[in-house]
Amino acid sequence: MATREAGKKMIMLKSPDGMEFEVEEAVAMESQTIRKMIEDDCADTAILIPNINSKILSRVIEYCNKHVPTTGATGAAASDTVAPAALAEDLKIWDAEFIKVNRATRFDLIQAASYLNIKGLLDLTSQTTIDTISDNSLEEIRSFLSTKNDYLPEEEQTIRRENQWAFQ
Amino acid sequence: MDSGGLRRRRLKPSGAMEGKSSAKKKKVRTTNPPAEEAVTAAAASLLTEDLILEILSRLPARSVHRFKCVSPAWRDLIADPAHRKKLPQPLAGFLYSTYHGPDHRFYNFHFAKVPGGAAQPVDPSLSFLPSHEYWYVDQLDTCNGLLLCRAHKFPSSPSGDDDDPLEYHYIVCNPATGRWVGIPALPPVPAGRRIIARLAFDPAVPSHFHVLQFEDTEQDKYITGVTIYSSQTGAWNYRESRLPEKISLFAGLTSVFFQGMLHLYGLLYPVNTDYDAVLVAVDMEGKVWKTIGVPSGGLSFGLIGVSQRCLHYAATPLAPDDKKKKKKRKKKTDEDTTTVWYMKDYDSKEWVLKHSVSYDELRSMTGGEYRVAAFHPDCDTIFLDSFDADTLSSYDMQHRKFHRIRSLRKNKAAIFLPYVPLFSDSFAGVDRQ
Repeated sequence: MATREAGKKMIMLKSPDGMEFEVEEAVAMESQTIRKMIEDDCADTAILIPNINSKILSRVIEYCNKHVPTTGATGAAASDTVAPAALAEDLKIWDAEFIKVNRATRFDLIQAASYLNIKGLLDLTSQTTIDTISDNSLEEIRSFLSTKNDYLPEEEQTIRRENQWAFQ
Repeated sequence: MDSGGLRRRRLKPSGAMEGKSSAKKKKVRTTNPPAEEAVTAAAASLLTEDLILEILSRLPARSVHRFKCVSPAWRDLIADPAHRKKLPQPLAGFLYSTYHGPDHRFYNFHFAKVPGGAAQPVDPSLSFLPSHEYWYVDQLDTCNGLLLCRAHKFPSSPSGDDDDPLEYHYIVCNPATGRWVGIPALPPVPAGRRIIARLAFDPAVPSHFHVLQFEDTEQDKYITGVTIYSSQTGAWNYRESRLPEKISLFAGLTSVFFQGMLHLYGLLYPVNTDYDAVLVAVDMEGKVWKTIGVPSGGLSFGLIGVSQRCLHYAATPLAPDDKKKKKKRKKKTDEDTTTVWYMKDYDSKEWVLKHSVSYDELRSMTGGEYRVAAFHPDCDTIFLDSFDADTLSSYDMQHRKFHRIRSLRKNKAAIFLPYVPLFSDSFAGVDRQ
């Protein structure tokens, strides 16, 4: 797939707040949503990404730039001489840095990854969220998600009893 | 965010809302720390049901079901039948069998629900199978939500001679969806020979399962080979055993499909009075055969299972009668202790002791004779089956707490098949008839 794009065709992505990003087609096609638009010839000059603001979109592009298969592309740090294992390790470290963002940005990224259908980014953002919440107490989770506990006391007792095993 | 945010079903976020909230975010982010909370609230409220499910689907069942307690909205989201396909399910309970009258070839089948399991009960009669075609359906094994059965056709002669081996074939079914597949029959096994058949299924590999029928020698019952059915090729293939040792399998115990290998509990042959239990592991090609040692615990009832993605092993000391003799001699040994072990790292094949509880302590808690019958797949709880009182109980290893769950039918067989419902479409097969 990457070789076909070796001509480095550029496409324009537009965010709803008016910013434009020129990216290589191969990079944009990391998003299955955009890939489909391109393959269906729905994208001539610029693609409007309707619900992702420029700040988030630029981060998404940063991610795709890093993760696009490197053959023929500029691929920031990667080169053909690097062993695949080292490359994967490098990507992992890069991902770990990339995801050091506040919760709000992470949620925005999850949403963007879902809409643009970028599996790697969705995995990364969801997994990071899971790592944060999987062992937390209910109170911590409620505060993390800014959700109120609107159980009636007796209702909460029942549900706690039913799911007792999950607290062991 | 209130609970309404969850109920709002917004599959595709609207541009207008996002624009508005991001503008707001920019503004608040530059101000003081409490603004961070507001930002998260705004962002969290933007997580649609789909995205929340996306996140939850990656969590272990235990976390998901703990989250039911977050709020009613979360409870409804997680319990919604439309979402069950995506979310990991808790252990529903155990399929077990009781001897049907004096003829030990036939069983009756039952389901023992455990707390926290799905609301919808499991129907042990498997009413979705065409009952007019089958005279007797034996339930053999469960694996990740699927059930392996041996379906016997009606006897060809109405006289029903007891010595005539009945024609049968295997059926793999999903009791949660009522979908099932019949598997081509193998040549019948000569009368009097035992048949050990097991199921291997990984939901991550959709619609692909294996059925393994082991073959052993008539006299000493040590394994000589296995015939493996692959749903991908639709064919059975015989593979000779590559075990260097002679091992006899325990027919009445659960097996475990883990890391691509089926694990069964067996005894080294010739059986001597010392403790010679081992695990036999075979891959789905029948090419890799391994024996794995188990922690030595004297004569005991051994059990394998998977819990929290690790292989587990439990040894319950055998025979209460022997106990009395030992007590007379005042000999306190490991043999008086029920032990639970696990493999932290499967590749190392090293067992790590997780828990031990002495015979006396367990006895004082339970007031009876119990053996480990199963492992909870998601937490440090084991299930105990009483020798004498026909009850199923749970034992929380962390808090050393014993809890009676329910009474069981009389004359039960030793095997408890753990059942975790599978609602996803990862198993094809025909619909209920």
